[in-house]
Amino acid sequence: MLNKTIHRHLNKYSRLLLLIALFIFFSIFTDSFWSPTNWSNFANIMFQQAPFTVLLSLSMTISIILKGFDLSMGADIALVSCIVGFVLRASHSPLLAILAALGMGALIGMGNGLLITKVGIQPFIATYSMNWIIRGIALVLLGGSQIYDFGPTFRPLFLNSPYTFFFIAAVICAIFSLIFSKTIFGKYIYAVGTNMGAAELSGINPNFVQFVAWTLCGVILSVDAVMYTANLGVAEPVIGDSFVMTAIAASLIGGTSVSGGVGGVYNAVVGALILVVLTNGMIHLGVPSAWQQVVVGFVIVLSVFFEHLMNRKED
Amino acid sequence: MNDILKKVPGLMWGSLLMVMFFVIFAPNYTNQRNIINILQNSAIIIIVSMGMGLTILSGQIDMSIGGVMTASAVISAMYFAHIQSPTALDILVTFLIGIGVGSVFGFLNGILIARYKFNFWLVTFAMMSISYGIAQVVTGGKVISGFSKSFRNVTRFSLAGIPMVVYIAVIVSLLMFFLTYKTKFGMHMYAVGASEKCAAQSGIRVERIRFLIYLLSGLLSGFGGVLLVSKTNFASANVASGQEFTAMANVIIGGISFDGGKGGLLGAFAGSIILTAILNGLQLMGLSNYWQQVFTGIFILLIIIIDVISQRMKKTKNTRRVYKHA
Repeated sequence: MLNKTIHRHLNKYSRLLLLIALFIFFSIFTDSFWSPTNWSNFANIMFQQAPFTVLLSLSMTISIILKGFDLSMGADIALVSCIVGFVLRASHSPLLAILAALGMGALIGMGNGLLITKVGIQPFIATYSMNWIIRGIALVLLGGSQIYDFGPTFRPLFLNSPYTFFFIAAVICAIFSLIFSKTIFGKYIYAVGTNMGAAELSGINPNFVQFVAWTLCGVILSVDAVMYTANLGVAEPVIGDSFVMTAIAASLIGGTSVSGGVGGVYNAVVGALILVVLTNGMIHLGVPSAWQQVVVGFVIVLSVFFEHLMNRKED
Repeated sequence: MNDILKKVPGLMWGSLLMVMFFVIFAPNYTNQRNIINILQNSAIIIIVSMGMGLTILSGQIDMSIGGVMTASAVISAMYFAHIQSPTALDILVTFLIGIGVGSVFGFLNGILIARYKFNFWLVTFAMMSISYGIAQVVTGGKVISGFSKSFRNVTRFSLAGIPMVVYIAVIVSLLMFFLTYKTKFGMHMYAVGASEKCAAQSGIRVERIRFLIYLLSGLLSGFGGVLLVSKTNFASANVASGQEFTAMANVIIGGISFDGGKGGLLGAFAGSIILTAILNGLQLMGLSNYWQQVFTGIFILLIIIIDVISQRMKKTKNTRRVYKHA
């Protein structure tokens, strides 16, 4: 019994230890990563990079808890970013743009949800096809061009304070943490993710739960897309190609289980931080950025491998 | 004859209707040059779809096909570009390198999925990322082009008016048909696809079958990658991106279902030609590249939706029949 508790805690905190170990490693072996007198890169990681990755990872974590992978993520962000650009160019109103973005995100999420629940396509295939279509629509809308004209108020709204992105990501994480731990809907998500048949037999409507969860995923992504567009200062249809891999790697290394029903905000955040520290640290070590994609792929395989080992031990 | 017609999957009829539409409305669609063009364009995707067909028949899927093709194309192109005056042997070695690169990825997929029972989606998806990344690292973002005529002739040389690459595709397909329809391996593969548990309990070595399937899929993707370099005369880090999606669609049009164990590679062969013909028609109708992507996506998604729904309807029908007898 005691042994089991220790094992569980070790499993839970091993990711945090890994994060700290990586941080210390890069601090020691590079000059520019972090030192007690040099906080600029640390601030860069925490306020400029992590918020985006955390939201991606959170959205992916929710879909993985439900045994699905959202492969439409990158195209989703590209299309929402284009919509934001269009609305801003037409109206110069940040409020309208944000509302349009949230609406578009929800719409894409619903599309995914309908394909998965009503039609019954496997999430992997459904979202992969959606990725293709949504990216195509974004390309048709902008046709290889870009939108820079955001009006005078949109970018300052996000960039006046360096902490805005961090704040937004923290609020969203707090909201989802509450949803997961305190609401019935949160319990339903885990129930459906763990065993859909059992959940249905105990009176939960799994299709409804999945549909709402996928819609929420879309909404989180649209927030990420708005932040991303504001930060980048340009809306273009080709962004976000590598986001899916990053998000999958972040959620899995955070401890979200491929077999469904395991994971949460804590896993999403820790996983995203590990990935951001790893990729940022590698650049400081002088590894060419072309290697990043290879490393992200290996991180996925390794985290699946460790989960495999852990499960075998528990058996 | 009637029996053969009955065996043609419903989706193919729909797709053929679409081809008929182009035959009537698209300009120059049926002239000889365009038909040869369609055959030539479908050749490489036929070879790759054979691998995809194997994995889907066994109830799983190989998402790494596009990435593996790219990695194989880029690495073999890099090797060949270094040679000053290439001989026939050099060309052979280049092809072997491409096939070897594909086999390495296939081997890794196979080991991780068959032996260690990792989630096949994730493994092949991660392998896709790794292979694209390697292609990126190897090329450094540059495009490699301008290969010698002898290398290009492997696919482009015209025999009786038809380019070599079509013959290669037909030969590979015949080999694969033989493998799946006539050998023990093929029979076991169907058994594994229909029900892994039943197959294992009747003494089939499921691990070995699955491993061989992924190895073959990687090998064929690698071969497809080199052929692509020879055919298009260039290689870059995204030369074959999205090919797994097209291959998936070819296979589904051909009547192989995601459930596994249903359909045959002959369908994948026909499906590849039909989808290429449809894409060619869209092009001739003057659709821009971007619209083509949207249409392809929607078309493929529709095919998948129809397949999934019809499979489900078949299942309910069968259950009802059982209840009636009881």
